[in-house]
Amino acid sequence: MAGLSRRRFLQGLAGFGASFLGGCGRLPLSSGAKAHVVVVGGGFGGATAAKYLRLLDANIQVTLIEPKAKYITCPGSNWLFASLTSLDQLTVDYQALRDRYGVKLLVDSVTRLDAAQRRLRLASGQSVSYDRLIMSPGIDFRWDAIAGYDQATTEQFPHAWQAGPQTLLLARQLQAMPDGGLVLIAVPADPYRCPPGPYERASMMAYWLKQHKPRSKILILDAKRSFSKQTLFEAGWTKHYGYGTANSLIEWHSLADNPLLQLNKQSRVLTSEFGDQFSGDVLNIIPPQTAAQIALQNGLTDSSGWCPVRPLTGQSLFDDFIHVIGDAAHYAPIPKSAFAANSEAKACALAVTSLINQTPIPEAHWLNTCYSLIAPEHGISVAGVYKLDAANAIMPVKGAGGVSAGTDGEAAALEADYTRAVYRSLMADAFG
Amino acid sequence: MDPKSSIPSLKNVSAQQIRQALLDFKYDRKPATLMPRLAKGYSDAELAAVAEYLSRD
Repeated sequence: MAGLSRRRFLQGLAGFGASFLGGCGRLPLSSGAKAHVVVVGGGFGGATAAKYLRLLDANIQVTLIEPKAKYITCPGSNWLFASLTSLDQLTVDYQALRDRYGVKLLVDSVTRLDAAQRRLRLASGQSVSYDRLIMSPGIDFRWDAIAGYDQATTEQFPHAWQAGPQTLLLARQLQAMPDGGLVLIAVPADPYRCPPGPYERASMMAYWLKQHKPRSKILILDAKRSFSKQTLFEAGWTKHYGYGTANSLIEWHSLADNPLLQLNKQSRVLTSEFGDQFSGDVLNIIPPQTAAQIALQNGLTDSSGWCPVRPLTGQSLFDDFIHVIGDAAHYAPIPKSAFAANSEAKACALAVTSLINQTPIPEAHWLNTCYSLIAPEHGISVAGVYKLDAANAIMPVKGAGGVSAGTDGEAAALEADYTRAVYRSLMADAFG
Repeated sequence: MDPKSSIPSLKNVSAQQIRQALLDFKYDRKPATLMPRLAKGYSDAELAAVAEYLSRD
């Protein structure tokens, strides 16, 4: 894109995209395209990758395969528990990717990945060939961690860790709970999607309970000894929710040495290794996670359950023509967040374009910023800038990043504004 | 761009102005909630390149 006007480029592409793919349903290659890149998964990682590939090189044909016609974002979904948003407001479609950038969209799911032939078989029966494949399939849950908690049980005890019906179910349970009721939030060990998410969720629930059911309590049962932005969260909980007092709306307990092992769904009791029993009116169990099934089933994961990659290009350690980005991939110490997926997608798109054009792969930088709301006018953030070290491992840049410095009300209110503004900017950058 | 946004627009801001702001964030001459944390992750030359890219219209 060097030397090219960014906005004029986009305007030019809008018209081009329509003629390029309009009415052309045949795959794999349209005439004139030098390569076909298929992106699997239409979350923040996949959408960003598809868009930026087209921006970087309009002669690359890009197909995005995603089973759902619309996407509900996990970022922002905790705000629903404080009645600050709705699922509608968190829903986006892929029209802009198609109409403005000429991404071909297939609402379909992959049933078979034939890596040797570089071909995907889809549920519709269609086959799609690729020159390079970018996988951004997201997460799945480990149902072997807490005995008795499985896919079917989530209808009674929602995880709400993929935004949608599960989020609504959990919100309804919270609203139906009696005043004086108890909410349990079970939080897994690292790594998992959105490290600060459980604590923002507790904050948003506490905000709502404080107004509607103030005698209630939220008990966080954590598999970790400490958590993301802990000092900032605890200061916010002290300020707004009586944290540390007998009447606190939120209590946090580490079960790092005493993990939750069993759920009895009839008695609604969670039992830990040492035999401690926990029950509540609402049980929000966030299970440990892995990369999505499609990655597990096609040999893209290692024993950790996540996909190891060469960070510079995002290439799978197991297949040079498959790149993995987003929550499914192992980019640690970069956390699993939508912002990070967006950043990984841009670095990956640049590397893929360079590989196709046989030009040198530029140095990669990654960026993450995770905002959380403690109350509608109290936001906090953690940020990181990352580069490769001499051994090609991802390292945070020394002296950069870290958590919110200002803790006064003015900084907290500004960061609450920025929480919402950055969400809109990220949505526009990935989907708009 | 977004009338509701509390983030200042970069429309009609020159590369030189953006570069100066980024350097001021990096060297703690301009207070802000987030940008000082991010700008410290980049060399002066990288910040100049970012400014140049963002100022294209």
